[in-house]
Amino acid sequence: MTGSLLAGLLIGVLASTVLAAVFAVVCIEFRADQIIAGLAIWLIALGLAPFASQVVYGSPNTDGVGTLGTWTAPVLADIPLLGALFDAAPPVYLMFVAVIGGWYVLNRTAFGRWVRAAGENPRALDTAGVDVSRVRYAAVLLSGVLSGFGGAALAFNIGQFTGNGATMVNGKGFIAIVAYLFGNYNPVGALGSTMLFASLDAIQLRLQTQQILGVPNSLVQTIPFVAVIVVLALVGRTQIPEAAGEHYESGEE
Amino acid sequence: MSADGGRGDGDGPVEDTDAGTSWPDRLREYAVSMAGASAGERLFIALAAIVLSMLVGTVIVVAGGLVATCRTPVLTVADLTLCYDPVAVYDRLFFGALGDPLSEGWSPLNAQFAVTLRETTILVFTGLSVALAFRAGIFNIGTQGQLVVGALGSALTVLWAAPALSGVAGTVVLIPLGLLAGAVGGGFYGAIPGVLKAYAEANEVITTIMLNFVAVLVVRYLVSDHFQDPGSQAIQTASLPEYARFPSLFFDPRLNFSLVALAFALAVVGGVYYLLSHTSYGFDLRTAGLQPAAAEYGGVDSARTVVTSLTLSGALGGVGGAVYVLMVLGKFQRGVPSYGFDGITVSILAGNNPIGAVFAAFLFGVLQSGSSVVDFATRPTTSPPTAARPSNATARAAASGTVSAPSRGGRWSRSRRWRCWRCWASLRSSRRSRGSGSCSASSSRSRRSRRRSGGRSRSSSRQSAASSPRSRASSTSGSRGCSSSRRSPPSTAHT
Repeated sequence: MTGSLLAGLLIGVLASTVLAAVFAVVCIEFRADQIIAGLAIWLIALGLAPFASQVVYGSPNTDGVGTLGTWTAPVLADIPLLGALFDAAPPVYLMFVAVIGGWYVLNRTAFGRWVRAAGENPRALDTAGVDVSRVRYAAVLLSGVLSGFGGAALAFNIGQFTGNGATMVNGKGFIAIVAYLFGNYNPVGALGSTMLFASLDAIQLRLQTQQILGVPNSLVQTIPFVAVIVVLALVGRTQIPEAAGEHYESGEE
Repeated sequence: MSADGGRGDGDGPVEDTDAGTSWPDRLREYAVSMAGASAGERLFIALAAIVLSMLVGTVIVVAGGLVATCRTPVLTVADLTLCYDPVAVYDRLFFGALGDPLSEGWSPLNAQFAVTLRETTILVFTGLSVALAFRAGIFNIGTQGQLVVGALGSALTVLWAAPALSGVAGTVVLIPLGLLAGAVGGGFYGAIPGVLKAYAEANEVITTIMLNFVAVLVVRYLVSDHFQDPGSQAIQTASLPEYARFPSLFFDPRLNFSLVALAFALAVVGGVYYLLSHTSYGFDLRTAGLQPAAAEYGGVDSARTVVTSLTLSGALGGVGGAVYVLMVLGKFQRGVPSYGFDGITVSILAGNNPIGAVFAAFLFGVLQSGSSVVDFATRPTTSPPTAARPSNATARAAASGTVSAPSRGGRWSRSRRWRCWRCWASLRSSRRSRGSGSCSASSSRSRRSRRRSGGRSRSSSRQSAASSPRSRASSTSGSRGCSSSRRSPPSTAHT
């Protein structure tokens, strides 16, 4: 990874964290409706990124920035079947680190317990003497950091930011919401369900290029989106944290 | 945060007074305070939001102006050069959209004002669509998809029925038929997330967003594979006959604006207002939105309310699509502008009030139309006004279907508007001095814009149909694209 790409990665993460911070302030401090605030953040980012690119590059798409290439682990890459995992782009490794780290933090550390308590039973957390708002701020900011990594990985995968139309992100954040729901609010489950969606996307791309079934491309492209809807309809009742989406004001009652 | 006054959430930090106040009491208190302050306070909140967003917009314009490089900056302080003039931007944005009401010989029938009202008309429908669902406690982000489906349904139905009729009879029959088809199409598409929410507990925010993507793709397939206009490169249906389009009363027919459609929009506003405020169904709907449990207890079938309100909301979006087809475009074309997303903002700004939506829609109509004036003001005008390049369509298409630049703060407009901003300052000043303002274009830039126009002129345009001399003139500049970014020094290859 060259220095400028590293800097780009960090700045991408920073930008996404700043947006997450805005969301956190609006929702936690001012008790805004989280869905409306989330949509507003989405729309702002959807406009801001192509605009920034327009100012700097004169087009909603940036110039090419180069890609990260792949890192190959010497021996491990030769393992049949699993070898592909050790011959991948750096963000792939980062993803595994994030999943394992996320699972560990959530389930094995005090901070993880606080995060879960802030979602399940904020009053208990408050009673235990932990500031609910601070935990929630930290959680939202961390979420911004992680999505920033996702965005940077996307850009460095293609080597460009594409801001036309639905931008290169093309609704992936929403698929992520469903994936997490489907993964039952567990980082490892989320890995499984995102792999499902990702493989659907890969199949969709394959079908497009190879015209295997003779189905028109436009319809093939709907596969991931329809899959999201179907999954959501099937697992509509998931274990949503008790207090998700609710405001908490210390000192109520 | 203030926007969802109807949902009973408090704004800002709420001091909880008495210990043990139960939520119905608090809800009532809140409702009473909102009812008391209602009109005035909400108007104040809306105005404050607009002013604030203009400030944010100014910051963005200034920041963009500092980052961009140009030959003749508006302002130079030490090493810093400001390329864009925010005051002029807002001047063009608001006065331009109205056709310069302060100048002599102004008439309300001017071309730019027609564009403003045209945008307003469609935004009224999408705003109403979002507002109706919001009042039922449902976030219908899918108005865009419902509008697209309604637009296609309307175009296909009218095309199917048109040969049987002609003349005035055609107009009288076909337009209601087209609107009905739009309503049915949009309503059907809105019912899907409704059913999924009511009976499978699928969150409507996500399903509607996914359905937006699905709508665009399915419609593209339907049009390109089954209803393609054989004489056209663009993915579009055949054109509707002239008599199947909204008659433009006082305005020039070429402006694609019809007072009849606007009047219809206002009538629908009245209808929705009446439905929400004066019928038992509206009462059920609002109760279900404010407090689902209480509504259920009171005998409201919440599943049915969810389905019907989303269906109605979708129907309103579909009618918006029908109006877009019957008034603006005269056919269905791929790449419908993001009226549906704009409708969310319209509705939120209006506090989900149908009457307020008219004013919010007008504001957004002004922003929408004014932004094209700003765009025009940023383009060089030295080339002959006959160029065939459909740059307006092209550029518009660059963002069709989505939202992009947050221009006037809080507002998202289409990316193309920014293409030539950086030239604007230089243009203005050079026009003042020599009158030969033209933005330099680097070869790479123009190649890119050419490629873009080649690839994308197929998709749609909200403006191309508006054959106002202005937009035609502005279209000439498409080929030269503006540059002055650091990466392409203006000295290379003038086109």
